[in-house]
Amino acid sequence: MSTSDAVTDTVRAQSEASSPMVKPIPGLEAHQLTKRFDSRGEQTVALQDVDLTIAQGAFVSIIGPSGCGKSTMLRIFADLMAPTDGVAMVKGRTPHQARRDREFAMVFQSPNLLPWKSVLRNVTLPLQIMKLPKEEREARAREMLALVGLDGFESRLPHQLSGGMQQRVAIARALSMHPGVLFMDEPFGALDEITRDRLNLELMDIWQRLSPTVLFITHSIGEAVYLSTQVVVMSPRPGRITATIDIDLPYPRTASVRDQPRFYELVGEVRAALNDGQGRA
Amino acid sequence: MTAVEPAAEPGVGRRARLGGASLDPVRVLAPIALFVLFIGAWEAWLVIGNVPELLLPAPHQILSQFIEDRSKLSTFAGNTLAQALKGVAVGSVFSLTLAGLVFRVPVLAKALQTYASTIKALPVVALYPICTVFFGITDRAVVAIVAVGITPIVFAYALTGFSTRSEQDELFRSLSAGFWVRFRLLVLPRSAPYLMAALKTVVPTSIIIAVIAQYFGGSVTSLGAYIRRESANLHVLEMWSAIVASCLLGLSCFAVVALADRLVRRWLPTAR
Repeated sequence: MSTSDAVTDTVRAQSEASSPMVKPIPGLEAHQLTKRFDSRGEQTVALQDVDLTIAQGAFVSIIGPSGCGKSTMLRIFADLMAPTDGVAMVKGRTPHQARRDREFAMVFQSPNLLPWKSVLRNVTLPLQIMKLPKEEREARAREMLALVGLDGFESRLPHQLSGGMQQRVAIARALSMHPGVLFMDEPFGALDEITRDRLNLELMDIWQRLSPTVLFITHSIGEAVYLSTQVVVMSPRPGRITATIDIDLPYPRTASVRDQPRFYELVGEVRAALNDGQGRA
Repeated sequence: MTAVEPAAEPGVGRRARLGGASLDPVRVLAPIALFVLFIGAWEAWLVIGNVPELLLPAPHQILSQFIEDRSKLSTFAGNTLAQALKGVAVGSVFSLTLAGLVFRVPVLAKALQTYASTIKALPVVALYPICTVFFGITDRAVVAIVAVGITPIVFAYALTGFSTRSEQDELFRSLSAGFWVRFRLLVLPRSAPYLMAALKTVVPTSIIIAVIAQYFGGSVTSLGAYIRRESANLHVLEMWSAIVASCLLGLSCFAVVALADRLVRRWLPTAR
């Protein structure tokens, strides 16, 4: 399947904030990306010849059953894992270089906060590592905490917050770096549905304001459709992309978007693509 | 943006972390009753069995001797404590530095972790003669043997603590943090429970090592040397009251460290 053609012309419907790009370097790019694991003599193909191009400022969700290689792909882009074959690029750089340049930030499935540091200190952590002056990092952290609705919680410790609030802190921590690319690995997977819905709204709001390129991994079809400019469907054995679906829902995406008939059509399309992929696997 | 779900059961976690031993009357009274029973049996046995004082004095005699000697004993105990704690400080700095450096080289860390746990079983006091060769029969020899004795223990706990992995390691990798930044901001605070466990083991042990070392030779104004002197002179009561002082010193050290451990756990809550 040729996904890259379909993907490159995906430009965000809403482009108010993005500065005019001199040359269109994609946010993320994968060519023939392959990852094989050897365990006890048995070989698993987590990714097989995956091609993918994601425009800067796009919000792309990857959805698929367990073992389809979606986390593997994200981890290769984030330089947490090396591919067996093929090339991954983050804003025109190798993942390693992009990590060194702090071009991307990660939000993990668990909030991954340092339990002995206050909310504020958790958010300033990346900036502390980047050696920013103390005043600047605190100012930035406060700004990001306000953005995720946690102003007033700066001096709390993580265990004093609910799961949803902890994940908000993790998002604020990632945003504090002003990343060009945001990797989100099932960030709301462990939350209850009500909290997840609310955080989806908030994430949409943040993305529309800051417009980073987002690679978002999820198991939830509704979440993928609501959040994304494009949904990439993957299937396992071997892990590969089986469909890419452009999401043409209007902006700004408020809660009411989820009541539109078009939303349900798209959910149906993604579900059908998932079933197709399963059938062929 | 709408904010804020209610925080998850505030306080529950904290109480659990603090150990949560509420004042159970049985748990408080039972040990006291046992102690009283033990002293009573001791006193009774001396009377019934007609045991000479030189062999085993009665608890009440020891207590009155202890009270009489209290200012002398507290000076000696202070000296013993100072030497033990100096040893702990020297040994801890040395073993933490060593553990940090070893941790820097993963292969070395793996190799030494096996040794560290077995080296804890060495009878360190047996090395005291070697220390006296280097330092003579001085306070410094006592400090040295305490340091030598606790080093493997602190080293083993520290290396185990440093080697603990958690999901935050990937966070620090994604943030492109260098080794020493990661060590300072993640590894060291994360291993706080291990370091406190080391301290809980090491501080009472250091008192034992110091007293025994002083017994074999050390400054005259220390508990160990006093115990040897009085026992040689058959001053049984004085010897016993010094033994009581040693026990009290060890116990109170343990209590202080255990309390510090609780405070640290409150300041540095570990991941749940």
